[in-house]
Amino acid sequence: MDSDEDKMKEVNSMEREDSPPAKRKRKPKEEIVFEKNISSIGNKQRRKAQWLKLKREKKKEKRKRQDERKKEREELGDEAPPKLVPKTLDNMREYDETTVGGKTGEEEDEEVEHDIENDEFSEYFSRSYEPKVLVTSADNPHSRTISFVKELTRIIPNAEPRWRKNSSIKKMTKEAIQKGYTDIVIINEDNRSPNGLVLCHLPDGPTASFRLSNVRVTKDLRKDYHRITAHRPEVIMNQFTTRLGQGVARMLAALFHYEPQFTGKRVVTFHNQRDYIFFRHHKYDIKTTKKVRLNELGPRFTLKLRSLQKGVFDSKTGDYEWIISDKRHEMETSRKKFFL
Amino acid sequence: MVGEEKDFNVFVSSENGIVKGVSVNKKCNISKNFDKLTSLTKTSGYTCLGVIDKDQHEILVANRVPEVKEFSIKDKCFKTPFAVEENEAKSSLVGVTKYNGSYVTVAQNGRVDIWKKDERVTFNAIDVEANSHGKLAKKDQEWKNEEEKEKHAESLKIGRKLCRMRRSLDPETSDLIALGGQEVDLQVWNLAKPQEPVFRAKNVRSDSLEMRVPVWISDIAFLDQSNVAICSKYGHIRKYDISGSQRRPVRDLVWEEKGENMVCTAMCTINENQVIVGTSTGKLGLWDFRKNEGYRGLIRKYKGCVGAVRDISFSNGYFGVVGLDRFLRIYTIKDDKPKFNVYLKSKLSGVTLLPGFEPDQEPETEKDEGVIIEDENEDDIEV
Repeated sequence: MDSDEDKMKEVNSMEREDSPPAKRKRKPKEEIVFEKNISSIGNKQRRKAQWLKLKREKKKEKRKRQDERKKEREELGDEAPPKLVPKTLDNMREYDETTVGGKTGEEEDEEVEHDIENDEFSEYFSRSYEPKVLVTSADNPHSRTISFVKELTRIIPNAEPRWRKNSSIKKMTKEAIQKGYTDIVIINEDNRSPNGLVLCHLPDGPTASFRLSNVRVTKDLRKDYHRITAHRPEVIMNQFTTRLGQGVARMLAALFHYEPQFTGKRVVTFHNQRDYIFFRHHKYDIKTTKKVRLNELGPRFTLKLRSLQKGVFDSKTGDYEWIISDKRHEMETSRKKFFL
Repeated sequence: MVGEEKDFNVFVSSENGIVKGVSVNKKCNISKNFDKLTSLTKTSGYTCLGVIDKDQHEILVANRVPEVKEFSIKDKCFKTPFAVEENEAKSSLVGVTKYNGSYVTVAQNGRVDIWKKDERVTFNAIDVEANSHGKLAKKDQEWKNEEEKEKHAESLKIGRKLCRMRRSLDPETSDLIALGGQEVDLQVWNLAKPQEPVFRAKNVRSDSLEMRVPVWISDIAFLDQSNVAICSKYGHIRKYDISGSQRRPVRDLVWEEKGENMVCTAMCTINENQVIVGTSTGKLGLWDFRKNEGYRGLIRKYKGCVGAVRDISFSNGYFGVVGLDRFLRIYTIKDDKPKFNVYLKSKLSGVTLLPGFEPDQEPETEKDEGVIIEDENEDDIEV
């Protein structure tokens, strides 16, 4: 037993003699450590230190690659290979069959065009009437919802605010049709702030239900609402590609007057990205063809389509053209699939 | 590719007035419009698609004018449209079929017309329904004058409309049609004897709160010679025995999810015990009427359909679903995902799968034999 211990000591001392001093010995061991081994280190502090080291290494390598590519590009000039584009969810989006314009975006399909031109909004787009909008809220609204309703009536030309006072939506639609309204906007409230928007086109148009989030009124944005003039705004719809998206875009556009007053330089934008519709309201100032200044005016909010129902509001017996409320697991099959 | 020579195995009618023939195959799906886009107006939308018999040589479609158009599947063209004359307020057609060569149209206001060459036989299903309610049902009711009676009859008709008419495809009972609608319970009529219905259903007993159960039939299906199934917008799926004396349903099932009843809008028979039911939110379910005999009622659900289901058609182990989401989806009974999805660009209102539907067959590419025979004939003539 003693001999064994002695032997071990000898072995150790021999190792120590042959190898370089203790400090240098540790370095190669740490450098060779692979990613798999980092996660198997039990000690959190040591594991964190290893991970930070690995991260620094990776960053160095990436920087090296980027510099090489930059050098290549400068040397070759025009002949350089094109810049690499990173993969994003928007780039890698699953192609939807119902996309208007096909894969290239330019394919013309007679039937799809005919379907779009003759939907429930054909009368609006043929300029036969001026939209008259009724904006209301859920019963007993709190201060944030009230200010949002007032903001909406300022942005939308020919809009009227009314308080709900416990009336049902079905009765509201009947009376509104009689009084000549063409659209109803209902802001739903939860926990003292607006969280839902129901847009109902009259007399027999579709009803869309949205989830409303990130509502910032002019006061929150530190803007003065007196800067919002009564000029009719221009409306911009961005990135509504599928058939469903086009239908929703037409619905939102039908709230505003068909002929904008360009002297007012007001612009309202609905930008769709990954099924979220972002609303922005700006005043633009064109100085030269290259310099355009945008000043944000009014509220900001984000919409997400929950359901599109054919016909006037009838949640119990109506037919839905698109609904995701109850079927998220069924419909959201991949991170790269979007519906609008 | 020679489009005209292809065999279409599905025909679809759309809400803006186009009849489409679709050839569903493993390789590719081809669809062809049989109506011109330029000739469409607001009244050209097809409200229903009717089938005459099991063999399906023709299909009938009705539009909002209202007109009935007959489409021949062999010739792949329409015959001259038949305009439905109506002196009173026009109501859209809910069902259309052909009986002994004359058209039979069913309108939303209850009128059923058999347009024979010389005469026109009519009866009103809603009248029959209204006559069984209120004071009109009492045999010894005394009326001051005819006006009062008519007023009462009119007031009983408010809120009632027909929603669907289906024809029995069984060759032995092919004279039977079944009607139903909002507050119009199931009526089965024999077209040979249009004086009174063969069967008139009775509403189920009041529910646990002693309240009358409302009726809104959205689709009807003949299960076999003596059984008829209905689905309603209040989630009821019921089976009636029309040969028996019991007027109440033999089986009464409810499609309930998370406390709410699903709004069922379309239905189709698979066999004498099973049906496929579609809802207004795009859900599809296989229902078996042998519940509590070892079956669950709702056996399986099918995924994939997004919008409200308008019509379902079954043939040869496959069923096709058509709805407001502009897609035709073909499913097999065993798989919950559709086998084929065909984008058809317009909202769809009716579908029929031709008998012997087999999408795995190779499509015919050329008819070489025909060409050769012609050449031979020409040679003979020249000689």
